[in-house]
Amino acid sequence: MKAKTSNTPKLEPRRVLLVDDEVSFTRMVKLNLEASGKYAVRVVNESPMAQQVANEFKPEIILLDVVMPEADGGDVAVQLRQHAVTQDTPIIFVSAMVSRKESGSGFYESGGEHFLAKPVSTERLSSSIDSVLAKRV
Amino acid sequence: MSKAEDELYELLRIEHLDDLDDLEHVDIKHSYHAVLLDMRVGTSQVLQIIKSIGAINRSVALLCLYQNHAQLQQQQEIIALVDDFLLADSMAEGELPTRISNAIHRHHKEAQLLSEKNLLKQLLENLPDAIYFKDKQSRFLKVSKTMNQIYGFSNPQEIIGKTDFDLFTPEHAQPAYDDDQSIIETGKPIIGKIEKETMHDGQIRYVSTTKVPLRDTHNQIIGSMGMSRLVTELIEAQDQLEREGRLLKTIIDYALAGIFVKDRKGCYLIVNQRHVRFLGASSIDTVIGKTLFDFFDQTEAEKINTNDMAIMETGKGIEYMIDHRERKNTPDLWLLTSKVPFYDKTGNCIGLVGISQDITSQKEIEFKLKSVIKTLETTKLQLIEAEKLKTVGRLAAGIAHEVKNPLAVVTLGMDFLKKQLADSKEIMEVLNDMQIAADKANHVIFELLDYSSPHEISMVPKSINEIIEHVLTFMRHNFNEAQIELQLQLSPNLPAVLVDTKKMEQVFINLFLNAISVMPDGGKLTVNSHNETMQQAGSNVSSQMTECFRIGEKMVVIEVKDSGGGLSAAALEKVFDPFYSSKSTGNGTGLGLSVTRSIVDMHRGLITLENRKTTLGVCARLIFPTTSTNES
Repeated sequence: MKAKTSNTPKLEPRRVLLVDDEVSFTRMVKLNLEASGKYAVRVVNESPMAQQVANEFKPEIILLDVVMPEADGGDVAVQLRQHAVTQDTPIIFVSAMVSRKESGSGFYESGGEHFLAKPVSTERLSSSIDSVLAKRV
Repeated sequence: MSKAEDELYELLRIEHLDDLDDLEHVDIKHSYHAVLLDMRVGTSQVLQIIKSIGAINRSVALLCLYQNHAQLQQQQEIIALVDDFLLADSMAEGELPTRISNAIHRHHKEAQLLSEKNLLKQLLENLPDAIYFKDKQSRFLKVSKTMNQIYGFSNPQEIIGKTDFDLFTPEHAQPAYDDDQSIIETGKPIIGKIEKETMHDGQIRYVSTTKVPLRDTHNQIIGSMGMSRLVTELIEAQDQLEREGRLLKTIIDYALAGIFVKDRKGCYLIVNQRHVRFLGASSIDTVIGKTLFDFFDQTEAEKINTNDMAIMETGKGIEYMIDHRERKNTPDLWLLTSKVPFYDKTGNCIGLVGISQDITSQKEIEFKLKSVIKTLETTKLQLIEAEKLKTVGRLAAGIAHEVKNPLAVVTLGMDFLKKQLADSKEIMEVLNDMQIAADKANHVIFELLDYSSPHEISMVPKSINEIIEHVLTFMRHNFNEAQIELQLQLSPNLPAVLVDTKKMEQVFINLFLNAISVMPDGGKLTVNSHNETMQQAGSNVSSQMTECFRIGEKMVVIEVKDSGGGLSAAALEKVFDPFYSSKSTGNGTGLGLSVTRSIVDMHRGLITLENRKTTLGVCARLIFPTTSTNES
């Protein structure tokens, strides 16, 4: 972990938008990701606010919880895909509703979408973000 | 008197009555051969006397003595009644005894002739047969009274001179005439010939005729004579019998069932073609006279034969017995057989009659139906199981969400702390332990989600031992906690069974959980596995087994025996019903024995539950076909 952070000091941190209603979870993700210096994380705990924050923050990648009160992950994703600012921004769904068989190592693709199973380690989170972003470039 | 006259007088014993009235008091019948009436004495009562003598005994010769021809002329009426008369005036010397002697002799002969004539008359008038005498041209000379009556002649003379052509149509008259002529020509009789008499009015009679040549006193054939006895009823009875025989034969030959008749010893007397086929024989001829032992193996033949003998001994038939015949080169045969004893006139049982109907196709339908019903039942249970799993699944998903989110926080929190406190080895160890604990918790949630998520059934050959051991790795703890001693007797050479691993694991989880629940105060659970070969039906082989397995099929048997209180008969009966539970509400796993059985069924296996014989507790016995015979 330390080696990785020291290898990329010169790069601009990648803008990560995290949409999840679990405050403690978003706090932990933000702490861990930003501790690496590689990412700048903006948190949205109220899903209907996601689009508005995204428009302003212009994330390079969005981590989106699936089960949320008010607008769930699916609704939010549809909205984001329809908006000019966010339509090409990759989304990783982060869900507790994933069985081991589906998730395999914890990160997987299905129907063109990326999924991460909760709970997830910082390392897995980081490598998943990097791999999705790498494909975009 | 001459010497001859003297001699004759000596031969004759002569008694003299003076008064005719005294004749009434004499036993003429037994005392005299001849009576000489002296008509010169007077004739007032003579006629009456003569008649009375004649009526009493015709063996007595009657002679009348007249004075002369003139007196005789006046007595014509009497002359006709007597055997001889004498004229005193013209009688030669010594003539009287000779005449008496001759009269006696002649009278005796006449009486004899008359008697014979009477016999013939009696014969012709009283015998109920048609008796006839014909001349050379086959014209009737004389016939019996019966014959006259039969052919409708009231006047006995009427038939005389007629021929068979007058009585019958040529259909009968001609052959009868030809027979007569042949008899006349050859002298050979015809005896007991059955003739069909065809009358002019269309009536038909059957007679048994015996005809012989008619000869004169010089033994020359002068015609024919015969006797015909009416046998119409007999012939009709014979015809009827023959018709019935043919009818019976037709029924036997064309019946849509196998028909057979056996004698007292069990030898086939009658069989029809269909039964020949049931016996696996080639033709009727190859069956007649044979016994069951010629067509079946010793055991089978003895079984049926004992049955047959019992029927003939007790006189009690059997109805609708289902008979399963295993055959070597052809498919098995199912017969519905009824057998009854049959008796002779005196009531002795002399054999048995049987009828067998081929119900193989009905049986096949029945088996198919049973199999369909079984499949439906299994499907029903699977649906119930799926529904239950769906509920468990929803529950699991909810739990997963609620548990995984906090776990995510814990995991990430520890990640963060590790970075912050990397310098303290002790803290790092604690954090690592916490990480491992969180991973374990996560693993449990994954297990739960996996368990309840529907998955494709995939059958792979596997040892049941492996499945039992796997289940025990995560259940051993439950046994320890319940203070249940576990005894495993798993055969090391257990053949593989085609199983869906997860489903089969469920079976043992359910059985083990049940076992734990029936031993709340601890106990002992014995699990043993071994292989067996399916035997012929017997005390060790239940009807369920014969329905599931073929003879000779290799099976894997697993027995799970608890030392709990056992089950009541009622519970044993219902234990496989869906939703049945002997456990109090809330203690159930939600996956009862009905699901267990449906899984076993899915594996073409059999599960039975019974109380242990030597000790308290229940033995669950599972039997599965091995992969070696399970091609399907």
